[in-house]
Amino acid sequence: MSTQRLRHALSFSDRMYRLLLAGYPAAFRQRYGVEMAQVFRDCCRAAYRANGPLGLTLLWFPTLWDWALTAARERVSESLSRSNSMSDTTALDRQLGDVVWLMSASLRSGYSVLQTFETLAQESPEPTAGVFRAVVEEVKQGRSLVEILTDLQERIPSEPLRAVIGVMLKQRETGGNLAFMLEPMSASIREKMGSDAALYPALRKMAAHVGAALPEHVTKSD
Amino acid sequence: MPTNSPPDPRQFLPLTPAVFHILLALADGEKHGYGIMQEITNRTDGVVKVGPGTLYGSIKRMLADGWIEESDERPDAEMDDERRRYYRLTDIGQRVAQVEAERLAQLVTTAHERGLLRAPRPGGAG
Repeated sequence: MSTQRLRHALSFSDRMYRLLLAGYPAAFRQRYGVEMAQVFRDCCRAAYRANGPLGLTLLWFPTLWDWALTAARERVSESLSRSNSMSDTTALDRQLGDVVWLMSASLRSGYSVLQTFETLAQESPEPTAGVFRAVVEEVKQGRSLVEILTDLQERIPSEPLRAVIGVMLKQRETGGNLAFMLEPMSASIREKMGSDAALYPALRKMAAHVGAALPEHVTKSD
Repeated sequence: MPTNSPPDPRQFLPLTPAVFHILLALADGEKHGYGIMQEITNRTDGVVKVGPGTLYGSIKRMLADGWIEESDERPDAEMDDERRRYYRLTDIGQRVAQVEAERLAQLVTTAHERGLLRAPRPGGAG
């Protein structure tokens, strides 16, 4: 009786988890999906043996949390590496010089780092929007910004963005005015990586919003 | 001139808590995914629990960085499911774990000096 209930409960949880695995990118799922499902089955068995059906139910809360967080992270990571492999200068890198300029202008206008990220997530074109959307999502789920940025710095295939994150983490550690620290990076990144006109409409809107004068190369494109 | 000297492990610091816990779990020998999870849960008295997504996302990145590798050996082929993959630390993975442990130990020393931690009890483990 008990064995049958265990089998039924495990089978249901197993099916549900396999459905959730569809949320991960295909390559990740193909490589790790079987192992993840097996590990989850082991966890289910242990939770059921320790606390019965309640234990199994309670296991689902952290599992869903883990799934929401990591499936989004892996999708962003995959789309970034895909865009990176398309050319030496990625779309993200080409947008980054202007994104850093906007971050600096926004911070100088009194917006917080998180407010700045939210604006970038809403107004920027991809892939910039996707990166900041994932960061904002994780902050809302309770992770610390330092942890999220450290994690992003580890996995993102963009050297310039790693450098920008490095400055942000340094500022968190040692203090200082982040807006002024970022400002010189904007021009040097743009010089090396170029600029992406797809970002200009969002840049105009956001510059008007924070009351900043647009950089010359954007105004020239009008 | 040497062209492929090993990377300085300090450039990878600080590690995320999940990555450091996984490196610690593998420090005393190879383990499969569930073994890593169990080791972390037992070592932290259940305070830290790593979900399958966090575990395999971290494993993916550590494999890519060469900090861990898959092991072909099975500790006990009779008792073990052959579909399970085992992971073990590489030399660079071990060095990264060491420098992170040193960094954290330094922080703990500073916390002691600032009176944020009680001195270890006489006759205690520390």
